[in-house]
Amino acid sequence: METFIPILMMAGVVFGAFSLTYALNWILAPRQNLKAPVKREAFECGNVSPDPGERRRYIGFYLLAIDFVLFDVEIAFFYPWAAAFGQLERQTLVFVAVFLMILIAGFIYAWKSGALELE
Amino acid sequence: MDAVFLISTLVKILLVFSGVLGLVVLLTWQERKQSALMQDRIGANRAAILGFRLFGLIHSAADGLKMMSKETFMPAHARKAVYMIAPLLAASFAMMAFAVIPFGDSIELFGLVIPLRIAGMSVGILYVFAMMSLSVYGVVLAGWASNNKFAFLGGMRACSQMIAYEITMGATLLGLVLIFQTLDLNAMVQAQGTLIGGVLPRWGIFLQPLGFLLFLTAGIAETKRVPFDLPEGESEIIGYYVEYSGMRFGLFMMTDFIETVLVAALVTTLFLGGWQVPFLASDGFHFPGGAEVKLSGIAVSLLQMAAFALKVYVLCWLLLLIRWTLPRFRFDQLLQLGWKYLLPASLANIVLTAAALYLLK
Repeated sequence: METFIPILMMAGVVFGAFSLTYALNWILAPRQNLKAPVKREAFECGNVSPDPGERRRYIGFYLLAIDFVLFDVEIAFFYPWAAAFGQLERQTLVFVAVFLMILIAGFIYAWKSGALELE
Repeated sequence: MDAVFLISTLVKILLVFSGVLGLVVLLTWQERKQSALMQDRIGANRAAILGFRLFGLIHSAADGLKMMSKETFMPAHARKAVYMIAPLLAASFAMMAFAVIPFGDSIELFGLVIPLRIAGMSVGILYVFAMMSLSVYGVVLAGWASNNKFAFLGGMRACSQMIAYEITMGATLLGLVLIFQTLDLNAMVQAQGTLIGGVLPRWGIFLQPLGFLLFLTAGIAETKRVPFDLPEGESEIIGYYVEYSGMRFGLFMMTDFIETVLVAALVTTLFLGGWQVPFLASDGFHFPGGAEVKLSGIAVSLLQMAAFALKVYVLCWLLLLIRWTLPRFRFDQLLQLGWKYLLPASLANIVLTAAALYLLK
């Protein structure tokens, strides 16, 4: 509790203060013709946007996100090992080395199959 | 859980919050002045109160006031709720990461020993990473909720860039964790207090020079500023906040600066000894030659806080210097740098550190 009460308090202060700026903005700023259709257009350098809403997305970003999930989770597994490095037995180094090899093999596969490239 | 604890925590929160915001305001001014200096211009100097210009510092106040007093409107296609809270998420989570960063060891006031960090968390590093990841949500959701193709492209770019460099950050820090064998940021800073060979402070930068460079690079990428400003790309896609106006845009602008301060504070804590002053122990200075200067406990605490603030400020200055010196990457180059150079280098850093520690043991 000594740890999490301060963090909750911090969250309260930070979210409260930033919400207050929204409220101040609401009070101070002018509001004219907010419903005017021209004002509500999607920005397209002054043109009418041909497809403002749903459209096809580039798949490469999805692939990068998958790569991220894989590698970030695997990196996270190293943290307990690193934090306890001094107290571990000699053979644990072998286990970690094997795990790292698997990670690197996956990395090489992702690299070779072009998953780390765009276009 | 007593009143003293709650009150001291609240005071510390307000201190950190106002300190970071003050530095952010100062950095908006410094960014304009420093860029002006580097490009042989004069820079912001017009705003004045009663004729006092204060070297253009009034411009920071004027900027804040302008953000507050600008009309905020919402495009017709936006997803309203998400559109509203996205800037709030980005700025708040970036700010909340400061909760575990120690800005001093502890200070003794009125017979009470107060640790100079908001929350003494044993997994502080993981908490900082969690908050930085959550801060990405603000950007991505802003891009998605604006329902504008430029905003969406900016959000996607921001996401893929930040996750690519987050892996590098996580992997790089493993080297430091291996050396100090703790995830507690304050314990890490305390471990950096001793000397190597009686002369050199045992800071992370001397133990992990490669790690320092990798972490700094990845950290600059996390701030989404030049040379890593592809999510914004002012001259091409404007970025994830293209549909934002008024204070909602202001929060996004502030987030960049908050993240700059956060990266500076993190690098200071992890690699530059945090609040440690070289040769300063809890009772005063002990220089290698044998000379000593005695100091009271409060003076030492204040000196350590000042040292932390100074280090953070110098790093912020360095980040601004880099921001105004380098040109922008192309987006595929940026991803190549993150995935194909920094990530293998940080994996090699882990292996080398572990091998070195194993042989030295």
